[in-house]
Amino acid sequence: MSVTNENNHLSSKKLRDGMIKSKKTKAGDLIIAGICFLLMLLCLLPMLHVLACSLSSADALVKNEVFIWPKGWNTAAYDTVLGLPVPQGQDYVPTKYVTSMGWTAILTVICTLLSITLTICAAYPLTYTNLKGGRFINFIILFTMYFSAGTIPSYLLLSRMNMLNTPYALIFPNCISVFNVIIMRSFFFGVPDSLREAAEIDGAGPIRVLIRVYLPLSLPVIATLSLFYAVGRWNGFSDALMYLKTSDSEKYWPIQLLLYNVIKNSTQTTEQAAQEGFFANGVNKTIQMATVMFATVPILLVYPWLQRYFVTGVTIGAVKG
Amino acid sequence: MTAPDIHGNQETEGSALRSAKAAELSAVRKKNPHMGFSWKTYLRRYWTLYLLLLLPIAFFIIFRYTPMTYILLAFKKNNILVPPWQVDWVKNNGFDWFIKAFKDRGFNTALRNTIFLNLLDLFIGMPMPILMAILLNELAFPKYKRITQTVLYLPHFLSWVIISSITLRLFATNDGIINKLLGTQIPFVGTEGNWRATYIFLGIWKECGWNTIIYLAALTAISPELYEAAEVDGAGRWRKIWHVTLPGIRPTIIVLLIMNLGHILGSEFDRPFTLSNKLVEGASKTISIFVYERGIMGQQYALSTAVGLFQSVVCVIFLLLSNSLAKKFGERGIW
Repeated sequence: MSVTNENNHLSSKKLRDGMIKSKKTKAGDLIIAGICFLLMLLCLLPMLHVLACSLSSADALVKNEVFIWPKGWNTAAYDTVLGLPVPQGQDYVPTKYVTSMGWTAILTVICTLLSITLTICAAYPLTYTNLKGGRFINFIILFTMYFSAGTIPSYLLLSRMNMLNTPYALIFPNCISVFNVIIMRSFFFGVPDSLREAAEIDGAGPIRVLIRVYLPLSLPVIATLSLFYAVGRWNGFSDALMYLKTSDSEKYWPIQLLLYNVIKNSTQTTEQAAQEGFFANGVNKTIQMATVMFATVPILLVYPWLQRYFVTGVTIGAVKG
Repeated sequence: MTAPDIHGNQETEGSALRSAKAAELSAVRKKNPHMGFSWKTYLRRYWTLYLLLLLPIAFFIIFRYTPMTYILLAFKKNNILVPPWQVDWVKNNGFDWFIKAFKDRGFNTALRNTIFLNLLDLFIGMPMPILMAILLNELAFPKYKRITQTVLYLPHFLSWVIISSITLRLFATNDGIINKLLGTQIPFVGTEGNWRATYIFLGIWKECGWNTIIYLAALTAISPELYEAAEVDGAGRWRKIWHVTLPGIRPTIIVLLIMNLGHILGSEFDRPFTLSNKLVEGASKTISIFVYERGIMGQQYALSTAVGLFQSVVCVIFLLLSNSLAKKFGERGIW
């Protein structure tokens, strides 16, 4: 029995070795690599174009000479966005871009911390399969994923709670994503029961087990979900558009809403926008490109480092969702 | 002499206690998987879990279930100054707003646009990540593959505001870089047909790479022996893709198809809203924008609540239908 097993094993191993040897680069592989390269260009070129525009002179932009390499290199657009250089003898006054960017950053940090904490709080007790009422709680959480009251009821609720036009409207209404709770819970389920039991035998209560056993083992998924929440908040636009309507609340505008309004207002009519692109004159164009870069770069700096983790996160979510 | 003794004693005592506790725990677990303690013991041991659940449950009750009481508005007169249960019902057994909505030209356009754009997304947008995943799977150079993936995930992290501002610049009719390179003057976002194509293309551009993740994960689960066997049988690249790779990811494709069918009437807000312009409103106004314009801007709360409710209910029905359909064809479904 064992001999045949070994034989099988050997033969398949031999086969695999043989395959690896026979696997030399073929023309097909190069074609595939080429297609992938083109796809990469498709993703990168628009961003490179924006970067080039933001670093070009307004003149070159009006003449439409910029492709992916800046023409008439200057950083005037970035200086304008940042409110630099500071005129002599005056204090630095942050521009609306800088203020909004700072506010969005603070908001993102607050929301991410709150969201990830609440997600852990929701997911961890549900891993106790014998928790009384656990199935019911599980149901009321999952139900909201499939059926929601809709935009207007949520809006009316916030208006009744006097949350409209306050920063709370950007923090609380969407602070837990059911999908992320599922991902977190699935990851917790993957932690071996024996670890929990060992800690319980040592006299640890559920909270201590969470802090000492589960959280240290779940850092990858916590990083992933934090990224999801942070990106969601940083890129969030529609809630701000709907909930921050008075002019008082303009100071709470996140960067995306500011950008949308700046771009919308920079053209007289939307017909003109469709005809000529959004931007009226060259100076505006470079400034807006610089703003776009500012609003994009923080995320682009972070996500490649977390790639390994978020791939796992998405996969778990897909399997269990 | 006494110290180690005491120490030793303590230790044995401690371990005895521990093992007793362990025995108790496992005995209870064996006897009754539902933890057969009295409520008092149970709560003493596990009250912290309920404490943890307190805030999340509060969130779901306040921000997800309380709004559902406002659904009543869809059947009542348009009055938000008093709670919805005190308002009078509208005529036609309370369904007047639904009837009004279906007589409304704006709503009909929005409904048509939503379904049309979603169907285009389904038929054109959904196969793309599958093709791209297969392509990446066939890529022979691991390091290059990783870089490709990182780059292809990039657009997913851009917001629609950013994408639309870049698009309207690149695709502009007179001085857009794309028209300049092609030497043409195509109004990419200026006519309804072109706008739809651009809308679908941008959706694919943003999410195609990201959506490959799920398929790639499913692909790694395919046993390499299947490929070896196919190779022994003389299968080339195409036959291996057709007979091994595609069947391997079929369950994943079905699950995602169900989800997408369930969202056939669902509509994003950011994407059509930021991309739309006056010239193409006939194509770009979806239900979500209709609800925003009539409800939040126009304060026709009852009408837009009714529209939102209609949308939610249809979504649930479609999800249930497509799920049971998948099960009928012997697939796993989503629950």
